[in-house]
Amino acid sequence: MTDSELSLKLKNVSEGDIKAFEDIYNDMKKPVMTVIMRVVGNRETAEDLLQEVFVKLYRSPPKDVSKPRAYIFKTAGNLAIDSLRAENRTVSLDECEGYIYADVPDSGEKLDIERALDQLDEPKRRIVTLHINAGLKFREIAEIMDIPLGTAIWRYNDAIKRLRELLS
Amino acid sequence: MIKFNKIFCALALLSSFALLSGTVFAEPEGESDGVYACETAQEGNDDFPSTYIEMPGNPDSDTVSPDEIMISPPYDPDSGELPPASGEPREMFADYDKGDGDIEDIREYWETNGYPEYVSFICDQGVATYDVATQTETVYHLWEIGIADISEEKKEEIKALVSSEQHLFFTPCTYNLEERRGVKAKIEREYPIAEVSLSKYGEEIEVIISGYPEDELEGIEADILSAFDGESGIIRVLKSVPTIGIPEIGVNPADTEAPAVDSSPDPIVTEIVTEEENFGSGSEILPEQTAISSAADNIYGAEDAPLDTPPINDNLPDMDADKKADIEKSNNPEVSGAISEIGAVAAMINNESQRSGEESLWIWICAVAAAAAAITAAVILGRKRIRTVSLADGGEVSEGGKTTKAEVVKAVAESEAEPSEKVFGDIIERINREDNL
Repeated sequence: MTDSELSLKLKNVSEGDIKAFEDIYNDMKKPVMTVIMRVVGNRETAEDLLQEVFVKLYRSPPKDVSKPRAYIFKTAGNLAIDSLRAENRTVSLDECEGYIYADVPDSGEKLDIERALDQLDEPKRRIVTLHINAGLKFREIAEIMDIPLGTAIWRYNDAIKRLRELLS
Repeated sequence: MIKFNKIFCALALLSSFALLSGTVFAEPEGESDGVYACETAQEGNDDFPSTYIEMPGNPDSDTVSPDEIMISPPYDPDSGELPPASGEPREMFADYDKGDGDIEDIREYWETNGYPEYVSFICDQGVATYDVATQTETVYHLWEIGIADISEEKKEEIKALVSSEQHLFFTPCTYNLEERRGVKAKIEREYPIAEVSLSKYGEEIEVIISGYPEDELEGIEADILSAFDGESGIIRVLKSVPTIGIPEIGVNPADTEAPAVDSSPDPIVTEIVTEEENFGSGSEILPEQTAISSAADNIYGAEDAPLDTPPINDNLPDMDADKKADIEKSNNPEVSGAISEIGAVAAMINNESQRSGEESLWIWICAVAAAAAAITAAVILGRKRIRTVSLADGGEVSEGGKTTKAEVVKAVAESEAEPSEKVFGDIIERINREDNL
């Protein structure tokens, strides 16, 4: 779903269109969930936060936002970080991997990438997720994370380099 | 010559082994991270050249009026006293009491102790003349000093430091050196993989942005220019673009092996061409094989060729076969002498051909050895890079070598977390519940 399509759907949501809301949810549930998961590291918490994001989206859909996708991911990221700060703890991968990949028959490779991602610091992990999973451009990521564009790109490249080392 | 060929062959084989033994396996960091092509060459990173063949082009120098190119007031090297300047000498100039008033010394002093706050750059835009008759070269130094404050007072401060033999001219600049260095540091901080350099021949700051995705380059350029440069045009951003048509050893996306290309010219041929360029059309370019032999002999020394051997071309008779037959039938002693001379020349040609044949054989051996090594390396690399292991979910990962960027991106993309199906129902239920409240 492009930004313009998303804007149109959000407009419909603001008028009470549940179908449009469901379309948005189906389109964005995976990347938003992934972004939250990579921050909080706990599936149950992530699903709660996913609910928060979409309830908030339904209650007050963004108006006059040029990049609604980025707005949604920013909301998700902020909620996830707030949650983490509130709990004041970090969750190990072992704690959550059973939830994430319970239905995957052979999750060896996925587990490897998750372990590798876990080696990255949170900002880099978030940049990688926002760029690859959420499909955001670096400029949007830089705006979301309030960092210079060059820093976002450099962190991304550095993260990919590190992941290559870890997975080799 | 044969010795030279043997040495060349041995070097080729050695380099082939080096190639095979792992040197070529070092994979460049990031497939698209390098600077492949720029809009223009980066300049200003070299040390100050001592001499110039010609006046380097400098756009700023065109803007300097003739009266700004002046001769400085005298400096007394014995006393170390500075001549009176129009303004109070700066504190940093006050302890400059050594040297002979040479601007080069002053530049070094500034490099060590810091530049005056209004200096942006300093460089030698000198020219050199060459007298063909006396074969002497004369170098004229012409120092260009970029200053952010172009007032007469500042000019006088600098002029007061140098002897009258120093030729200076001043170029107005927007930023001083410290400001330029500050901007450089800031760009490097925010764009860590950008290459930032301060031109030594102007106040420009050149930024090469490479290693970033192509679709982001425009944005980065705009960001740099808007943040640091704005309207002045001091910062020049050079964007790198992915290379086109430069094959590398390995496997391209179409899974075909790219040829190993050595575009460097043969040193011997280069020397011949250079000689022709240097001495003009008057120099003789010999036939290819002879030229290479002669050039190599000149370089490495010809052990078996007499130094007074005349050029082969001079001895080649220009006649057809019938004429030659007529001469052979004649009993005239002069003609017999000519025939003997022709025979000697023919023998020389045969010897030369034999030598050429041996040289050709060695060259062919070298070429075949190098080609075999390159092909073997390409095959090994190809096997190393494309061998993959299939996963249960249909994906593939490399068995050997480093995981590629594409594989990492694919793995991350496939590692998406999916919420359970009840989540949307919970969301709707929660919305309805809150609405009822």
